[in-house]
Formats: sequence, C-alpha cells, structure tokens
Amino acid sequence: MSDPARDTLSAKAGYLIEMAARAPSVHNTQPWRFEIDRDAIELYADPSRQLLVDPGGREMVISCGAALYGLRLAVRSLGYLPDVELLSDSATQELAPRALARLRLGPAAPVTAEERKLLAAVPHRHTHRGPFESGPLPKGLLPRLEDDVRAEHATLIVIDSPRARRELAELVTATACQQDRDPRSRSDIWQWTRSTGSLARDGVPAHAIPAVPERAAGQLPQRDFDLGRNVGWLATDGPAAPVTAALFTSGDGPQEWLQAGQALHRLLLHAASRWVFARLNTQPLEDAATRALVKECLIGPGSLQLLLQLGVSRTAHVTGRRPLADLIDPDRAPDGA
Amino acid sequence: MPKRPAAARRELANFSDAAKQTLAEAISDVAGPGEDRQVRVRPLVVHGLPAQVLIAASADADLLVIGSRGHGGFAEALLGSVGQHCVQHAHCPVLITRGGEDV
Repeated sequence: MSDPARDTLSAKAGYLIEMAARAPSVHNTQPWRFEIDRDAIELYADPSRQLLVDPGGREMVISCGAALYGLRLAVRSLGYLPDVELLSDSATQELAPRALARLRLGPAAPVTAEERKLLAAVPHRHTHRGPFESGPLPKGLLPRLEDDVRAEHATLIVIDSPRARRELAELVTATACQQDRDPRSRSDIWQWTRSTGSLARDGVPAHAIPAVPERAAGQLPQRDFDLGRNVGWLATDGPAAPVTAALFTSGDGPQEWLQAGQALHRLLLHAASRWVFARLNTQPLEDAATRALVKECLIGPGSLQLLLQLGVSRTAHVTGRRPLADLIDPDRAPDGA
Repeated sequence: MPKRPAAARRELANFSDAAKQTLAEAISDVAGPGEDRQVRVRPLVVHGLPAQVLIAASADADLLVIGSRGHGGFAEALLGSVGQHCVQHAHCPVLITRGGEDV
C-alpha cells in the first residue's frame, strides 16, 4: 500500500536537501552531508570540511544545526510537520560516522503565513559582511527574534548598554589582531576564501569579503578574510550595526550546538524576511581563553555560542552552495537528482 | 478551448510588445532617458521560464542582479522560488535587491 508521506519524502528529497543546504555555515564550509533512507533523511557532519580553529567541532555542528532547521522548514512547505530524532549524544570525536539527526514526515498540517515568510527569505538570507544602512531594526522585530531563539531552546541576549557594547568591542578588537596572525586561522582563510571568477560553490567569495578588515570604534571587528591580498569587494565603512546580541545554550555539547544552529537559522530567516541581516562574529569564541573573557563581559544563562550584529540592508550578496550531488551518497540519490 | 495557432502567435507578439514597452519604461525610470545615460543598457526580452533564462544569461555575466518578489504563493513555496533557483545554479555571483512587495 502506498504511503503518501513516504512517497512525498522520496519525491521531494532533492528539494528538501537543497533548501537545507542554503543554511549559514562557518566560512561557508557547508560541513554537512545527507543520506536518504526509505522514509527518512539523515544529516551527518562532514569533518573533511572542519576548520583547523574548530578542533572540537563546535562550529561544524552549529552549522549542521542550521541545516537541520532549513530541512525542518522545507518539510513545512510541503504541508507536513517534521518528525526529528536527534541521534548524537556521543563525544565529539564520534560525530562523523554517526548521523546527527534523522528526519521523517510527521502528520499533515498546512503551512502558515509566518512560515511562508520564512521560506520566501531563504534565497536572500546571507551573512552580511559589508556595511549596513543607517537606521534601527523594524519596530517590534527584536522581541520576536528572542521568541524564535527561545522556541529553539536557546537564549538571545541583546547587549543594550553602550558600556557593555564598548567593553565587548574593546576586548574582541584586542584579541582579533592576535587571532588573525594564528597560522591555523590563516590556513583556514586561505582554504575557504575564493577570488573573483572562482567557480567554487563553497567558501567565502570575493563579493562577500570586506576589502580591508573593519576596525571601527564601538564595533565588533570582523575576521580579516582579505589577509592583504586585495581580493575583497565590499566597502568597510558605514553606520554602526544597531543591534549587538549573544546566543546562549544551556550546555556545551553536540546537542546544544545543534540547538544553537537551529535557533540561529530561524532567527536569521525571520530577520531576513524583514531585510535585516547579521554579521556573525565567530572568531572571538574559537579561542577558549577569549571565549571565557567574552562570557565574563556578558550576563547570560549557560554557554555562549555566538556573537552577532544585526542591521538593515536593501541588497543581499548571496554565496554559492555545493550542488546536490555533492551532498548525498551517490548510491542512494533520489530519482531525478 | 485551444486557440488557433495564428491567434496564439498574435497574442504572443502582443505580449512581447507589451513586455518591451514595460522594460523601456523601467529603464528610463532608473537610468534616465536614452540620450542622458551614463551607463550602456542593452534591453532584452526573452521567452522562457524565468529561472532558466536568468541562469543561462549568467554564464557570461560578472554579476546577476535580481529583485526579491516578496512572499510567493503556495506553488512557489513548494517548488522553490526563482530566487532560490538562481542562487543555487547561477554561474556568477548573485545580488538580490529588496522588491517593493516586501516593504
């Protein structure tokens, strides 16, 4: 007997995985792969794409969590509820061979207007490394973003006080120069940045790289992706980002990293539906000592996972994604993929 | 009722003329009248599926700029939007600009 949910999953697996793979990932490494089972899609981390500055796999699994949210949302667009089983409670070194999550189609439920807005934001959602426009976030958006993060079992703390923002910026600036010189960090950047005309479908392309690293007072500095090569396209001046925020989870293991990634992607898509984008400051949290110092400077529950700045833009320089065939086991590809 | 081929051809020609007219007006709005233009604009009206046509045109382009169409209908959510196809398959960098509908 034919099972409509199972037939839908196998017919639409390619679409679901392509939507999931639009997720943000550190350095656009896209450190994920998928396996398509008869009635499920399994998500795996791909440690061949893990950064040298991320030996524990935290950033890799956060990226996979973002892809998991993309997969859940794509399932909603088909009119089903996602049925997600989280599989990893193991130590990080065992992450690779085991699936992080298995997703099946649950009961049918019509897609909501809210979800449709998030789906429409998938193509233009991007990590904003260029200047923001001046002006605040649309009224009422920030509390909604906090709700999104809470619904994904994480906490978003907005850093309101100018003094806290200044202290954080000073701390991050002081450590950024040192981290930019770290050979592992430089090696990651050489491996994961792309010059103009590159046909690579991963990494950070020239059109998404600031021409010179931004070091403006009161702003969290971005990682230096250019390394003096003059490959970057983006201007680096511009008004300050109106919002600085930090994302916390209750613990600091693979489960919480997956939660952080899902919360992040949900927040980013909601923001992008209003043409608000984020700059992600992952660099300060890659070094344990700096991460501890940053945590001290902020008041938040649990483990600090992400620092982000939010602002408004009317344009989106999107980055490429690996083709579907690279993301799945060729022996188990869906029909027509 | 299927239309007769001659009628269908006439309708397509009318549609094509209307599209050219709309495009010329849009270019004038943005870049000014032809004689004052600082940039060279080459208008092109093409029949086809939007995503396919844009992806083909991206093969020898430095940048593909597309407008966001705001909230698509159900079919668009189901099949992926034109924007989604372009960001996935374009052969050059893609810049998406905010369309009037999402404001």
